[in-house]
Amino acid sequence: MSIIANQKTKVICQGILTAQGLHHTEQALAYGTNIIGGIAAGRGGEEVLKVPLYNTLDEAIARQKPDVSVIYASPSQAPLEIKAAIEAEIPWIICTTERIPVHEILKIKSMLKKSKSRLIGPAAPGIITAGECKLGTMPAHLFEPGSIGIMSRSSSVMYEALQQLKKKGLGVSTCVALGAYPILGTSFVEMMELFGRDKKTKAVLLIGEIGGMFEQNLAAYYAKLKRRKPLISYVAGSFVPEKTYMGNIGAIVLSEQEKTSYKNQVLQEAGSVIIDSPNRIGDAVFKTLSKIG
Amino acid sequence: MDIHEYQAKKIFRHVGIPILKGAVAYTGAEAARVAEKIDSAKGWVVKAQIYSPMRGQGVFREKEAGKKSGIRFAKTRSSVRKETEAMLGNRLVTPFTGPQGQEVKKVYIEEKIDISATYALEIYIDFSQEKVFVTAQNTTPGIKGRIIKQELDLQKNLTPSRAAGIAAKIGMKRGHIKRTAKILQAMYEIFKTYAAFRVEISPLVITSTNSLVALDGKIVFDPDAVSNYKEIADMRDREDESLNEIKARLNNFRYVKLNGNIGCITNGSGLSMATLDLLHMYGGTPSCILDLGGDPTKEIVANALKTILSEPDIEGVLINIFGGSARCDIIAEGLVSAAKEISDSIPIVVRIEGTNDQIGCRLLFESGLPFIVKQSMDDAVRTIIQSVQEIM
Repeated sequence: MSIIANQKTKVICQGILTAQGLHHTEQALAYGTNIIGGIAAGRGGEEVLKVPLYNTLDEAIARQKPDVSVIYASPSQAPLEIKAAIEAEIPWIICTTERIPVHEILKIKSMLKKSKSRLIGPAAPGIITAGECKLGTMPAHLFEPGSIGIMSRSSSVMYEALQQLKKKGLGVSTCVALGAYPILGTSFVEMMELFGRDKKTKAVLLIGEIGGMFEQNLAAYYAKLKRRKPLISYVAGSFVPEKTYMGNIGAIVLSEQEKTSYKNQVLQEAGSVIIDSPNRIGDAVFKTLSKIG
Repeated sequence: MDIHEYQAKKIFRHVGIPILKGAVAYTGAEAARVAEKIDSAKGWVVKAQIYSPMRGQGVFREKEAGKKSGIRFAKTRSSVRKETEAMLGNRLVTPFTGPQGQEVKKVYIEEKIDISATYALEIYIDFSQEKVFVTAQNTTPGIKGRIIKQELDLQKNLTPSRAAGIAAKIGMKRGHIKRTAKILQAMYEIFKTYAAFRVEISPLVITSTNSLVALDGKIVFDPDAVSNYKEIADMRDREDESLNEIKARLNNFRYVKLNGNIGCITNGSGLSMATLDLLHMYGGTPSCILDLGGDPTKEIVANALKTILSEPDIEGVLINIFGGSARCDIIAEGLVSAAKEISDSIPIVVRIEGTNDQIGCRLLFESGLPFIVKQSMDDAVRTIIQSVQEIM
């Protein structure tokens, strides 16, 4: 068990012939990911890395319906790819592309409301279900199978957390890096719902950041849950000066509520364990797990 | 990305939003010449051009700038010159600039008018609601105008009748409703054409001669969209960029200047923030953060270390890299190749963990350079703080 994807999940790749697409498809195949096809206009009928190529999504779907599409494309091409995937009703769409203009994502969000598809990203490093499946740009060798679910706005802090967990002998179920972006296709609340239902996940680690309302929304949701799994949270950026651009336009504090201190407060009130320092992630998760046995 | 008032007004004029006669000046003499060209019976307004609202309530840090704010009135050309010279080179502090203020490097000279009513119009993205809104309000002193707020659909245009409806709701008189509607539509055109975060006219005024004018305005662009519009990208001020900011831009790494004595190199915005958190936790103060991004080359790493070592207030360097997509051996090669710049007087603590970390650490040891290599982020942060204290 896992969330969103496992070794059987049928994956299609939009932009398989881009440098990133090719590199990460190769890595994903080596990890055992079930990639059933790649989209490359004008190359239909050919193969790359033994993966069949199709001219369009429709051609690929006519052959076999995918569960997930992973998008590697330029900032100008990516919105078109996402729209095509929504129109094709692919259940999960993962967009790795960074630097897409916010207007494009707003239009995509209103399309998503009327569809059954769900988007992870944009600017999402992606998803790894340890030992089963790699979707996106994260290096799979860092992920040891286990029972911690991770949902994160930052891939670099997630890697740091994985290292600390490994030193404590802990592994992970599914890890979702949602994207460094101010407007996200799916956020912590949706992930918490999925982790809640996943038998393999015993506890959930949240890695948040300053800026936005993602952590606060999760706190409101988590506080109301009757039966729930332990939530452990680290929110980065306590000491970032106000209105400072740290390279991610989503991580800018515009109001008091977007500060780490406020996010920690509401998460704690909702019942989450709070990690106040990034070197104590492994310890905190270990302690929480030993309490529930 | 912010632009200045004079740049916003250039865009306003282009889409037919009425503005006053005005021009930019960089010196007092230039300001006087500009004033001469602008025929104005009532005198002129000299406006500091910095990236901040509320310049009219701002205060200058320097005494020589006088007690007046960043928006000043002048009746004669010589007083235009005097007010310009008082502001140029001095730092204006507003609630939005922080206590250090922003240096005024240019002013905008505009004709002076008499105002009979003021309004505020805004079109913006609300990030937490993930929606676009238009708001309008009568802000004339003494009138408590209700804020009219409506959601806009990016897929659709703002129709003349809907825009006129908004104008009527804020109490615009008959003759001004159509004009206000046109202004709202033009604002939405700017907003959509340039994929902006915010387009604002505040105040929109009715003059004593009953004409409608955008007296001040602000446009905030999406940094990820501006590269698509060269005319906007070129508006970015490069005058304020420090040498290290220029180096960062050219090398494709991110550089954030802070106030302490420890220079940090990291990869990823999340890890940068986490490194700041941990440094503060143990009582250290960062001088700057340099984020290499996902997959840096050897040259970029070398340039990053050289850039950090050229900081004047630097007393120690902390390199905190987790090799996810980045490779630790390449990071190490880059650090070693900056050897000429490395001396014993500034301690450099390196933590590289992740992909190829063992090869990376060996390269650092074998280089014979005085790198202090630590295995974990925690260890590295404590060591750099200690080393800096020992030197002092």
